[in-house]
Amino acid sequence: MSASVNPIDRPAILSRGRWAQLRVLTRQELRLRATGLWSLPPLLLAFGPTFLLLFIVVVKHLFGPGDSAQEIVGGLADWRQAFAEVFHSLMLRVCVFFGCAAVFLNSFRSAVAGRYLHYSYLSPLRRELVVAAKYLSGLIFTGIAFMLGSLTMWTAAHLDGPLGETLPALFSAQGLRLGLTYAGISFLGCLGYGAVFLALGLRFKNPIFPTLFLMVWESINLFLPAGLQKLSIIHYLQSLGPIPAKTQLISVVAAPTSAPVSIIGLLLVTMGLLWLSMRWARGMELDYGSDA
Amino acid sequence: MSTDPRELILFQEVSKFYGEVLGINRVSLSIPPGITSLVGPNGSGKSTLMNLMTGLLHPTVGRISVRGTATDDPERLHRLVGYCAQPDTFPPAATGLSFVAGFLEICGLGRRAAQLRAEETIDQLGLSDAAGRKVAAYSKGMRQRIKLARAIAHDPPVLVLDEPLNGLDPMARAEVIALFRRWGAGGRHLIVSSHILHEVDLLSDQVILMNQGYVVAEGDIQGVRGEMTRHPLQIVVRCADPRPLAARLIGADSVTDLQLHADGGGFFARTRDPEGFYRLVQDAVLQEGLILETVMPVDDDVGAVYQYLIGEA
Repeated sequence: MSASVNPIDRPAILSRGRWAQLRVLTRQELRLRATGLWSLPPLLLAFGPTFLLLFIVVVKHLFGPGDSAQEIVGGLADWRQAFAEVFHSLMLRVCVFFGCAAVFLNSFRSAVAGRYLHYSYLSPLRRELVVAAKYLSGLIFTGIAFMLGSLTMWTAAHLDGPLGETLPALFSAQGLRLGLTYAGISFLGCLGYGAVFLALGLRFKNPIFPTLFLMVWESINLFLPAGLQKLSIIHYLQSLGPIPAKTQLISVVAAPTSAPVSIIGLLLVTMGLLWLSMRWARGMELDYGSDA
Repeated sequence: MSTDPRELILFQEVSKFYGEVLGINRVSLSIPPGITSLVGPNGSGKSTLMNLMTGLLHPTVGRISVRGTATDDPERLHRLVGYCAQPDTFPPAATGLSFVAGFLEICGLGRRAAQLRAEETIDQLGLSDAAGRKVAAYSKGMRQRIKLARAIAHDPPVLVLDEPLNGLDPMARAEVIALFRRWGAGGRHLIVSSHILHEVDLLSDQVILMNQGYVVAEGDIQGVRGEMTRHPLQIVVRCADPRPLAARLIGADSVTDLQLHADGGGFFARTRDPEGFYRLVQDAVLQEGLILETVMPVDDDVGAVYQYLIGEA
């Protein structure tokens, strides 16, 4: 060990802009997310529905052909309606919701529990950038996973049936548009739920109860009066569905909000929640409870 | 001493409460460049003071500035400050090199430059061989050094170190102390907390003694000791024939107590006026031709001051 430290090029160290810092931080956060077993549950949730559909196809193939899904529900249009129901109730309400909860709730909590958040807070950058980087890295991770998960689910669903008919339907302009729309809805789900869970993870030491409340709120959404239904993320995601879900039998569904309003609304809610998270992060104190 | 706030770390009537629990209370400090040690028992407020200084905590009352920069502006503050905090934890899967280089990239260096600078700093702390290994596999001393490497990598003018010598073996301690001495020279601030008092003595230009959230004394250690008039300074004198010297000193006003050593080779004196005492000894040596082996104060170090101040509290 030598007892000297060479001086650094100080102008260089002062020159980096905030965008460059955000890029570096986001890259570091993504690397952190890519390591460790805790990134597996969101991936399992993203591709779980695909595996489920593939499993059904394989079982049917192995144990003798029965009626295909399309034959059971009575034709391509009705089959796509059934897919929409499964997508909304399984992919959005369960997989995207819990996948985002796992990723974004832990963005700050895991760094506090692991006692390494102070390294970010001791860096020469605005704390707002730490929030932005954690959100962006989470959005990239969940966004890619759930968009791919939705596309593979859409594809897998077309494998159940006479391939001579289903594959052309899959690769038709309408089939591709529908697949990409579902992927886009999943991405918007990650965008909205991500901002909610990031804020909850920052605000609450134990975010389990607010998360449970949110889960119940989003789950009972269909049974709420039409006005209250609009106070939820899931309402706007369902409004964007290319084929509306048919759940009117057991509930009163609020009229879907138009796509532009839904998208702009989700973006505004996301920005509002991020602004709140940034405020909280700026005022946050770190002492890990025992070093004071 | 400079009064320019751009050269000082200033605490103005700062208090920090955790709910109803006191962290520090009404602390006013003006810390000049050089090596300053924070000394105090566990829970005395040392870490709170450091966390406030580095913006990890916000004061409940009062204002803090570090070389003219407010602590609620992390973007500017952490270009000036390197902080080696106490938690011995790291981001998962970080290697020594990625831990330091990643920080330098955030500071503003390009990826390649950050890598080179990180390698250089890690090398200076003797960890080159382990740079590519995961920090989780490091020993306690290696983890301490890699934290130190990160704290100094961007060449900050203010370095804050919470128990930096913990876990280091004696050789590494000596080397790190030498590093601190160099760092403290040339107008930089080095703020160190330590329980190891003789190392604080070796290291510090000044000390801040804390107890139960209050600053009980601050300044250079001899100055602090000199103000403790309730405790006369203890001085040991060793020489071949101490009796004539002892006889001259015992009647002097400045000497409050004197005890001959059992072996007859010296004595132990207490004085409230060290300057006067040394003058008397000097006169006696010159007039009587005595040869002295040792004249040395034994309780003007941080340990003794700490004992008197904290023990009394």
